[in-house]
Amino acid sequence: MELKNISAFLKAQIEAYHVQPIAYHRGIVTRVGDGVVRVEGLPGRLYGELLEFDGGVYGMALDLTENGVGAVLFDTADAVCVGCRVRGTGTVAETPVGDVLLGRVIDPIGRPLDGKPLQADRFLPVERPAPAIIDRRPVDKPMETGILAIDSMIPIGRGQRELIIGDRQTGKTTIALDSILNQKNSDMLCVYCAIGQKASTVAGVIQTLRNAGAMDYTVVVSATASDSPAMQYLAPYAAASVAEAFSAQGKDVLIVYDDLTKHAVAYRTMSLLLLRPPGREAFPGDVFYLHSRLLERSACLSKEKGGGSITALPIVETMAGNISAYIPTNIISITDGQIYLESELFHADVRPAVNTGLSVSRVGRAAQHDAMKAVSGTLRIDLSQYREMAVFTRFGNDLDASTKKMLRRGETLINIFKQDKNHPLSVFDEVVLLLAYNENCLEAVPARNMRGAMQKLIAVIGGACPGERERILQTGKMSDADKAALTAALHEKQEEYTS
Amino acid sequence: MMRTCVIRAASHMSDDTYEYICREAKKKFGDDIAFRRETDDGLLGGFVLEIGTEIFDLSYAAQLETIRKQIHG
Repeated sequence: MELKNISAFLKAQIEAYHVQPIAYHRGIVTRVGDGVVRVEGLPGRLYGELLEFDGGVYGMALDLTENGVGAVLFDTADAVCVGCRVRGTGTVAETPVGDVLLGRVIDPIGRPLDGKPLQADRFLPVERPAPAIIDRRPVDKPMETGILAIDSMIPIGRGQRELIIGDRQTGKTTIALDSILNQKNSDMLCVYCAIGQKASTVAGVIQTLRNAGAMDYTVVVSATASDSPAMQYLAPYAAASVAEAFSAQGKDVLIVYDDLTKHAVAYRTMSLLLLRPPGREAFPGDVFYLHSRLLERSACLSKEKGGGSITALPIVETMAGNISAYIPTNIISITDGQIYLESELFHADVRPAVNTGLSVSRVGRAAQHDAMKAVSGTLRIDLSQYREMAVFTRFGNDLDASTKKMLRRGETLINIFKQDKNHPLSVFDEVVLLLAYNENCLEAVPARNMRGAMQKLIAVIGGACPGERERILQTGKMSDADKAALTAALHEKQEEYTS
Repeated sequence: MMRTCVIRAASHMSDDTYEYICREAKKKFGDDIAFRRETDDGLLGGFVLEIGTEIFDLSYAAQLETIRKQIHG
């Protein structure tokens, strides 16, 4: 608008302004306990509507009855007492969205947690329906995690939901974080959603992202263990709305829910306090729907809808490796595959501790880079044969040459898959390492020197074949000529990187 | 049963105005209403009518808040 028109515009607005009485219903708090309140009055509320209590405290209506409303509080319940007045806002919970959020840390209702003001101009409801069937297309583009064991054997496609499951302290968050770090030079944006975690853990995650320069393309939505169950319940939905706003612009988004076990526990707390009937493990009846409606929002959108995608990496913590507990089985059945991490492997220094037998990706193979497909075809079978043989021959010394060879190859493969945290690999690095394995170039290297040899190999071959490197990184394809050149280089420079 | 209707104003309201509001309220909600008047500086101007759980807010503070929401979205 031009400057001279502003006063005319303002005058017109003022003249057209009519004083309208603001009519609303008021409720009275009749019971308060553990972040859940009972309100009398307030007819005509929406499910999930934001309620404003005296003292500026907000809550959400979750239990609508004839006489009143059951609501959960977003803040600590100190300011709310029996007799407090409540008013409906007429809107459901919303979260800010858009590019202004990149690099920021927010809570589920959009309040900044990083000490800086947030000027958001767009908001989306926290609960939104998942994309319709017609608006989706099959997953056909890879989402590189930069973790060799995953990209080669359990590939993840853009728009896929891949569960990361395992006991505590098995490296679940590390896998998710490495995946975020690996998007640094790609076109993907990331959302990290912390649910019910220790504030110190979340601070550590943010520091890791910041140190690696990953906050530039990442949004952190956090509801820590000290936040109310309602906040923890809302966090993943708010994070999904943030991701949806990006994907609606045609962007590819990676979203990490860390973790959904704590989300289910927060929801159980709320439900029990709202006096909903408990079911198995005291979870309410709709705990499946709780997660299915969340994870269904991750999808690969059709060209007509902008062609964006949301790849979800939900995390679930198991107890003593029990993946057949209630929440793990629910989420396993919702997602398109799982990465199973095992404590035994972790303590045996196999890190990332991926159990390849129990891990699976139900879509990713279709979305794997051609170059990766060409070198990773037999890995799973090699590994399972090795594991079987390793158990079988544990006490035997008389082994024939072919068995010894198989064991040696298996050990080499396991050592190749070991990877330091926060050091994701590029597609080229991964392809070259697997090519070296296929060509038996690393078998002579003892386990303790493997990491050094692998780093040298990547540097040496990358330097010797810059054209091939560039082509693989750009197109994800490896022609026969490229493969031949890389193989020749691997054999030729074997001395250099194995010494 | 008599219902209570609270009329809250920013400053002391003249008896004429008060009675006028009472008359209009009776027309709208029926005769079985007992009126009470209160003052509340926070309203800045205008008045608020509370009847049962229903609130009719005609205060300046609420109007300004509405304008603020319209501007900030």
